[in-house]
Amino acid sequence: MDATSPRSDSELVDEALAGSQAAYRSLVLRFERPIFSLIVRMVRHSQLAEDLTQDVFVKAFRALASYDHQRKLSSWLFKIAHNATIDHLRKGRLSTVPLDPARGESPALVATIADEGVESPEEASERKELAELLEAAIDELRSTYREVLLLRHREELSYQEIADITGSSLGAVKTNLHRGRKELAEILRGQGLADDPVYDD
Amino acid sequence: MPIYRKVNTWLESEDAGDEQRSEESLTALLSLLPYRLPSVALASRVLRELRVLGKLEGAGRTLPRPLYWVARASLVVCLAVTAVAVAWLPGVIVALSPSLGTLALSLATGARLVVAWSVAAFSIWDLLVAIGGVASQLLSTPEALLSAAITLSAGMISLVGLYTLTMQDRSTLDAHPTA
Repeated sequence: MDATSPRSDSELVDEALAGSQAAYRSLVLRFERPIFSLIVRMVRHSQLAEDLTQDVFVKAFRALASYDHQRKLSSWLFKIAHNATIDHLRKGRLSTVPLDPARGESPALVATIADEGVESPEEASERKELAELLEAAIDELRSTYREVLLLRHREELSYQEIADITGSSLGAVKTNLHRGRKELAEILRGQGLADDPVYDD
Repeated sequence: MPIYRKVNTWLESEDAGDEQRSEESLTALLSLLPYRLPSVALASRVLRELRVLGKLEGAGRTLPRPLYWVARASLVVCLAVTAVAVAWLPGVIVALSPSLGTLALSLATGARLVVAWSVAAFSIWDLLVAIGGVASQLLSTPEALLSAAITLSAGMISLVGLYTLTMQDRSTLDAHPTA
């Protein structure tokens, strides 16, 4: 069994609860990337993010029987990830220093899984370059805005799902998204990405 | 440069206050952010930790949602039983010390033991033998023995119950932090 298994999340949950380690491995493989990506962009430290991600999946397994099948498994996991991350940040156990390029943690080494079809080398290079600039801009956002922006625009979750995950009200989510977008726009403009003729058609 | 054009598309819609277009174009823009990859061994590490914790065969033991409040009620009952067991202690002491004379004698014996322990070169074996002797003497009445047995049993059962329920409660809280 692998991450591309066509079985639904609920089926895998049931199998894992029945004692199938392979089923739970499949679930971990299915969700480790989005969960790890969110956490690493929140704590900005690869190794700690990996430890937290591991912790999230251990906690999730321990609580698997209480998972409500009506709910999206990804949202449930994001909520556990949110709580784990916030707990650690509050306890001050993680320093939120930017990733260290010298240790191979720069966005330049970020692997991409985007399947954008056939790209020319120039397009691929531009995509990678823009992704790095976006990564840096996201990194400059305050963590509250960063999280909701990523959940909304990277994971494409609804406002209600984000509110459930972060434990905030719907209004607070919308406000943070609005402010986050404003802040991101300012950062991108500050990077010279806007209104530059070279970027126009 | 169509890829970079995505930035201006979003910024223009953001400036224009076009909420829907801004949302869509920012989603398109941030879709360029690749997922970060954890180490390939992450899944194996998760399963290994679960095995170490002895949880791999125990997922079904975590409380399902309907039983969550039943477990909480049981927790309260266990706490109450523990409190009753503790409250019983004075009764046990009274049973063990039916008279002031016996109590005084016990205190005096205790004091003598402390002094003897200090003086007799800290002979721990002598001390334990002496304590054992006094305890067996005090527990020689059937009532005192029964009271002590009931108190100890109730306390131990309550503590085991508390531990079990707390562990399950913690697992449930991990999944339902706001429950």
